[in-house]
Amino acid sequence: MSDNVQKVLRQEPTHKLRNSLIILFILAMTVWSILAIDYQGVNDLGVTVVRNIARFLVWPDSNPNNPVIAKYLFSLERFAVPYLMLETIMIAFIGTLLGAFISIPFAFLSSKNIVGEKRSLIGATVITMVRTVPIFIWGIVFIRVQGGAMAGVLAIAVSSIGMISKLYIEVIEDIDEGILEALDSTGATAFQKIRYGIIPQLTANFLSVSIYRFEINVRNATILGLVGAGGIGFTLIDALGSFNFGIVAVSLWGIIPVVLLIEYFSTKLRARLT
Amino acid sequence: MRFLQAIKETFVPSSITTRQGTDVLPPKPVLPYILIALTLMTLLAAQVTDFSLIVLIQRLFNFQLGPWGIVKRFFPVDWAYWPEVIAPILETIQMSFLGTLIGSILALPAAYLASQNLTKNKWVVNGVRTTLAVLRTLPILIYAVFFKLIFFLGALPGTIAIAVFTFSIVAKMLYERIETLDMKAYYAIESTGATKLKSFLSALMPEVRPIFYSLSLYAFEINIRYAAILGYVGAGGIGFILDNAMKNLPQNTRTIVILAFIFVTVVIIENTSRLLRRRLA
Repeated sequence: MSDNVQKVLRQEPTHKLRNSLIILFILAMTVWSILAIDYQGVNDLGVTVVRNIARFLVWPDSNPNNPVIAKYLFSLERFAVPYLMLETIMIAFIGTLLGAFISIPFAFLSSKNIVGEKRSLIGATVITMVRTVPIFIWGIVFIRVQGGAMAGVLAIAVSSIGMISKLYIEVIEDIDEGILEALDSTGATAFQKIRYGIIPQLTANFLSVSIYRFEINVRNATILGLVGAGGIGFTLIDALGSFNFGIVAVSLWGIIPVVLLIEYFSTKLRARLT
Repeated sequence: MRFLQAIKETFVPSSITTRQGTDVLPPKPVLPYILIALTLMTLLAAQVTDFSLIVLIQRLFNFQLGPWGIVKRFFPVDWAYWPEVIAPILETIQMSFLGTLIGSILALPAAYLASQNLTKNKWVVNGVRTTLAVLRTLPILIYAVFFKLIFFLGALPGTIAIAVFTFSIVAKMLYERIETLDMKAYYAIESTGATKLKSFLSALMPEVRPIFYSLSLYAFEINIRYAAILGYVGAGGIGFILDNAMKNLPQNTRTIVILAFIFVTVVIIENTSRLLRRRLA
């Protein structure tokens, strides 16, 4: 019995050569990648920065000369955290909404079962091109429409097209065509076929994709401020750069719970949808 | 009156009498309420973000001042610039690779500690999960700004930022997958007296390994695109020359060259990674 087990085990292919080649490749890549890093030691300020961020995160008012909690965390001014977070979420919301709508034609025009194998490649290439352009480029380009939050909305919308339409395409290519044939046999018109055969198959999944992307977009919207496209990003990054740790702390106090809550509800909602 | 009736029907449909004479109440509709909520939310969002379709359309077709004004400056494309893009794009790849490697390796023990079926201590499981969730809330760029203050400018802060992000997402996806594994072999080995870690390594690791590789490759795909913007805050990679090319008017013609390089790199890496992941699955 034990001999047989040993024999079968020995007959199994071990892939020794393949595995060692892979390991060699990864090691080579690692060594090559380490070359990119020139370690100059820890910045003199580094320790101070870490200590201060930790201290202010626990209690943002640690600097008695510059109390921030009342002024930035619990205030409805436009420069305070609640309004900036509202703006960030709203940028993500309306950006995702726009992106989700723009993606519908993109997705249909790139689905194999709608336009055929070859023509779907054209759409897929366009989608990849849109997707690889970094979000800041969109932000800067759209500042020409209107600076501030609206540029952020458009940047979020366009940069969402890539992922949303890619996931839409998967849903569309999964359509059960048997339902359409069944509708055909009842004598349904083209409009009725779309209304009762296609839309019900797509809605839940499309919604789920959009909600998932909204979650990502809230995070993306927190950095758009760097190029002047609204949201809390400018305040946070500027405060980090100028060692204004109180503001850094209250900004993080704003971002972290909000993003956690959104992630929680998004997961709950998507679980119910699918 | 017919109109009011129609409105009432959409929200509270009246019961339908079948031919057998029984009353059937149709299901309560949710869609109208969702649509109303979405519309209100959109109106509020448009108010907060100053979003206006009119401005958008006006500006999109204003070829002088609108977005096309910027895009026009990218042309004619200065293709002769390409040799100078190679070093930064290689640096971007190096940063993403090393960051993904470090982050993924650290994610493995974290995923072990966050899996309810492997770690029985509730405090540890919840503690690790909460830490991961909090780490996930911040985008890579914020980490890059933070690590740039601790270390000096260059690829190091970017790499660490990518490692932190990779750690948080790979660990999360990994523990979700570990919890769906079949535990019979694990318990069988544990019952022979092996330690928990040993049982994990011999019973579950063969199943976890391909999942782990696949998730790490997936993270690498994502990271390469994030790494492209880290240069905006001085954390290394191609973002730095991209930022310069956009900022300085005479260099605007270089933008498309840089974007083309990012595009080619992302396409090559994504397709290779997808091929590998399909073989792993």
